[in-house]
Amino acid sequence: MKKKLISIFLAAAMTLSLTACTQESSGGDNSTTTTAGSGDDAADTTTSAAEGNGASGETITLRVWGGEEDQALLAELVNDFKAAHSDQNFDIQIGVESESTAKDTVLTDISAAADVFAFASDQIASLVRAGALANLDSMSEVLTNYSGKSIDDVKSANSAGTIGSATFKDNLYAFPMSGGNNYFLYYDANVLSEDDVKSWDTMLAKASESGKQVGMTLASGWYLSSFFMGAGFTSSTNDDGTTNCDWNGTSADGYTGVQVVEGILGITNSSAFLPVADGDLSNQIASGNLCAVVDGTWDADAAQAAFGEGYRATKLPTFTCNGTQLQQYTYTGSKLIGVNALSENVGWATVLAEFLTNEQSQAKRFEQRQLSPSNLVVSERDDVKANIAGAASMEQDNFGSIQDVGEKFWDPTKTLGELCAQKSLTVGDTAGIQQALDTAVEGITAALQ
Amino acid sequence: MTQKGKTIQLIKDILRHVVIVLMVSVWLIPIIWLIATSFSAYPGRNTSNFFPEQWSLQNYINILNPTSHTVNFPIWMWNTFKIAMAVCIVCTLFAVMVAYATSFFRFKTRKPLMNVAVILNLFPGVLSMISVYFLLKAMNLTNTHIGLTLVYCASSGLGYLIAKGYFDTVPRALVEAAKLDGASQARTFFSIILPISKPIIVYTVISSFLTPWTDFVFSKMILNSGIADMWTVSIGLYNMLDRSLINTYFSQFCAGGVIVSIPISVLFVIMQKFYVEGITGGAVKG
Repeated sequence: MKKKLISIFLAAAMTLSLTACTQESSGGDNSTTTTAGSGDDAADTTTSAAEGNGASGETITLRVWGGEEDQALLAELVNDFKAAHSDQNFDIQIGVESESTAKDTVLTDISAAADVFAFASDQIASLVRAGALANLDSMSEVLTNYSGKSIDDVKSANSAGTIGSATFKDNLYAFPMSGGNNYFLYYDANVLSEDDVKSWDTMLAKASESGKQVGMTLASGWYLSSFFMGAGFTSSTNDDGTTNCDWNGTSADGYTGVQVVEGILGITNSSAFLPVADGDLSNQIASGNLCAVVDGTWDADAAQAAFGEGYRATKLPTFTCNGTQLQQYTYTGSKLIGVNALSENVGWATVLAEFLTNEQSQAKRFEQRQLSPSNLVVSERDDVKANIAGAASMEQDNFGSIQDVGEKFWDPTKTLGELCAQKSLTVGDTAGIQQALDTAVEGITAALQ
Repeated sequence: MTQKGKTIQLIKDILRHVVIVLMVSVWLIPIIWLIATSFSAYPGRNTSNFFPEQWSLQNYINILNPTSHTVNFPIWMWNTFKIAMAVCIVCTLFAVMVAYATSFFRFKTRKPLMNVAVILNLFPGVLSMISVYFLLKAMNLTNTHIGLTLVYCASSGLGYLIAKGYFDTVPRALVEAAKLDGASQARTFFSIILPISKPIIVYTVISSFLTPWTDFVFSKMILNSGIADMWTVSIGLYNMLDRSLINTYFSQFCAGGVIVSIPISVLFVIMQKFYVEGITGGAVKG
């Protein structure tokens, strides 16, 4: 009898604790599935909370996530922030989360993620759909109260391209931190002249004469799409997260996907072209065999070290497609700082996020990290314009389009790029190329599970 | 034996050793590469050469004297060591006590309990990951070392099987003699059984120390605040391979990998003698 009683008691205790847990986690689920529309309510309630906090002397606890290489700068900026709001007590912790992987970590458990986090602009759609980002347009009032700026001021202070990349369905969801998250051409002026790097054909011919190579990553949709966008192909996403893509058809400019692939094969068939695995670029630059490489600002130090006196950078070259020269396009990417929609102090988090991306902070970020600013005033500074990699990145931004692709985009394009890099496709084999494109498009446009 | 027979024997020996050398080199190449790269003067990833072009001790010096806030190897080592020590003590105690109970006591649910324990042990621990995470979160134990220690200790009693096998070989008369002299169960356990069970305790110590020392999955999940000072060695090392860090820290990462393996190796070498005794002793009766 006694044993039975105990077992009943234990079972009851277990069910109780389980229901307690489910209530809590289901609350979390509700808020994670909050869509962009209902995000406003969440922001409104927290708006008043933030105002309340301002009046009382409570300590505001905030956590910030930034990239590894940003840590020292973040610590400095956070101190500036505390100094600027000295009437309020803050406990601000700085954590490490790379901008490139922020989405995955945040979406693992949004309520455990930092209040303010940096991420690359291509992750914004997924983050907004999962309800992880606070709608900043609704936070304008709080921002004005505490920093004297409205969201419209922020929008006009930054370049249109970066604001565009921080906007999702007409609402601003993040503050641009730096622009120039694209790629362009580094070259060695000792080998190649300014005219040589204008097209792939001349560049490869010259490189071949001097026994050097030109490196580019092809087995990555991010790089491969530069050719297709150059020929006028576009992509877009649907509300369910699937991607629209017509690389196997004809572009708005009248080029077919087959012609583009043949253009790429024209490049890969040259012995002076070196296809580089994704992430292996800096190692290849350091090897000293390259005289030019398609890469971004993050490898500027490696390129400078390898090319020495001849270190130059410029926009991407043109490539031959169906007999004409086409300019390669890139995605206009930026790095953004967003506010966690589930943050307990959304108001202060917004003020902090804005502070970390304002003009002074961007100036400091450029001085310490050489990242091209998105702020229009800082972009006009002479030392910003004189930065070789940054200037090339901004030049390339004139040939850019917003990255609007879903998750299914990356694997098929990687395979297609690998086929081009391995020369598995041949020029003239129209049917074979068409089939490869059809397979890729089928994968890209596939439904999400 | 004829001359011919000797030659055949020699050829056989040579062939056998060539095969062994081949297999050993296949196993050792990654380790040799890791050690060689940890002494490389080039900080980034070098995929062009097997051996570094220039040798240097700088990686070890740098990783033990961190300048960056995000790469703080000594603190990670200390965190991991603290957790591993705590887990080691708790787990060993639990496992040995459960083994003692199942080996020397006779109670009604003994067999069913043992069966349940074995069946539970068949499930990989990661299966419970999500629920463990939410439970810890509900108790505000995520991002604490105590929470992590709890997780590692949680199933420690289930590791009793080998220790039980060892205890079964201990003569019953010993325990009965202790009983006759008026020793309590606790006293029998601590004063009679434990002192003669060194091999199996060493085995349990090593295996329970290894789990937190090498675990990545649970620590990555539970210590998710991004605060680098909280991390254990495995998360920290993983983070050093981040796209933005790899070019500066890859060789240091290899050095870190070598350093991490040192305590385990030392522990193993010291306790090796007992270890073999422990496993074989425990295997006599399953």
